[in-house]
Amino acid sequence: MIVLGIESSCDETAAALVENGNIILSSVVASQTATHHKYGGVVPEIASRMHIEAIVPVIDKALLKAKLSIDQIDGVAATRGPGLIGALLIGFSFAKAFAYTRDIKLVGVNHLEGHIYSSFLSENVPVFPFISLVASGGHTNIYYVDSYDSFELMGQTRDDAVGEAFDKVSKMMGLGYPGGHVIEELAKKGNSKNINFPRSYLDKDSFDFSFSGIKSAVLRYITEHKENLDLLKSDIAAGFQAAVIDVLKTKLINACLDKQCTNIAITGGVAANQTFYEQLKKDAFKYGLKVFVPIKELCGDNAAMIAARGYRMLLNKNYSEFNHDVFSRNKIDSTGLKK
Amino acid sequence: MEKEFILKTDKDTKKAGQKIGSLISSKICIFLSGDLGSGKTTFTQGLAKGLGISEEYYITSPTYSIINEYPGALTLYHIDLYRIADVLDLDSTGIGEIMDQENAVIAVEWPELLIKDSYSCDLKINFSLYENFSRKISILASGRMGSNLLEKLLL
Repeated sequence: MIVLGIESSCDETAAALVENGNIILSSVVASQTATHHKYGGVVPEIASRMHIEAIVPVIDKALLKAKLSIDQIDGVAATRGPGLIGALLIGFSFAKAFAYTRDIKLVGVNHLEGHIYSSFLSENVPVFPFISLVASGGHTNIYYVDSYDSFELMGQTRDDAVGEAFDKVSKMMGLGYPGGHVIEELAKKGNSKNINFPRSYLDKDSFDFSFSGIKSAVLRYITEHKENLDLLKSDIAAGFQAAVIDVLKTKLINACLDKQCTNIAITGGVAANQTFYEQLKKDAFKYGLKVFVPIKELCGDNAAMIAARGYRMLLNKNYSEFNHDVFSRNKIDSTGLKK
Repeated sequence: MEKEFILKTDKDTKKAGQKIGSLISSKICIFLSGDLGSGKTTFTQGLAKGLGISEEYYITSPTYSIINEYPGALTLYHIDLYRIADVLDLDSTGIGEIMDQENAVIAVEWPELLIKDSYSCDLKINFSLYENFSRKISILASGRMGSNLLEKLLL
């Protein structure tokens, strides 16, 4: 079965063709139109009009790369939420029209479940049950995944997402926005032990996160050391990153021990941070735990993960009707609500 | 009318939001200006509490999601325009429709684009870092509703 996946929940417009849920025939992400922002950094243009302009070319390109014709597509999967309504509507409405005119089935995919599925698109896949971390600019969620269709939200951020903390720290040091990658590179030149930023673990048993405090701590440090900031930037980056990684590591390993499973799968843009992956792998190994990370291209938002999740929903006959609407956030079980 | 307050800790920032939230009984629009880490989201967490938004909800940063919506007696829209590049892009976020809604509390971080697009608010709150890392907020009220509220506000 060949599934066309479409993703347009936030910044990226993406299309992918995936066979039988795990063979990627093509995966295309529209290059972001970067605009110089009034606040000094470069930010992606998040206009719906960008999605409108990109969606047809992106799908054409996906077909071309996969060397498929339009009538070889068996089903269509599009992100239904959570995300920005105006952006989601472009992809989901396109998918509806596509399914209708091609007379094929449509499924509406939860973006976060899509990220979890990016773990199934590698050669080495985690085995059930496992702990999944979805960590990006907008999310920091820990799930207990015990089948292809069961995701228990164990914890999430109470304020800022971890990727957002990276971006904002970069901005505070005048290194542009977003800046996750900049911080990681700069941290390599610094000593993480020189500045000890606070680790916020919240309640001992909680799997929730809080990254607002460390953001303030970094801001305070920067304000106090304005004169020789240039010399301190790499140590600030290293100290900040180490604090964040410590918290992520601890919570993930604890979640794994709590649920008595042995596999941890990390996904989302933050999973592309190599230092995080290496350190988590090293610590997890001490407990006999294995860590899985998708290839870099599948860490950030993409449509292959949406097609992969969509394939499973098509098998389950969990179809979307044409009167279904997109949603900005999960109602009960995910973003925004405590477990 | 304008009032200024010094907030020593995060807790104080939350409390200020909560106090304002508890004084709100009908549609209101609040613009929140100030640098990164000056307390805008923390303030909104308190605001939600004061409005009686269910504590089952975490009030998280809307920087990436742009708009977070929380149901309650009055619906709270927590909006962040940090990543919106220009007035043209404002339309695509659906903010115009939210601004027209009744029974809504609209709290907007980085509202400069809305101001540029001639939207007005009832309360404009400016956050800045103050001595010893406390925060200073100055609240400017416009219109009768905003002024009445600010008059009652004691922190």
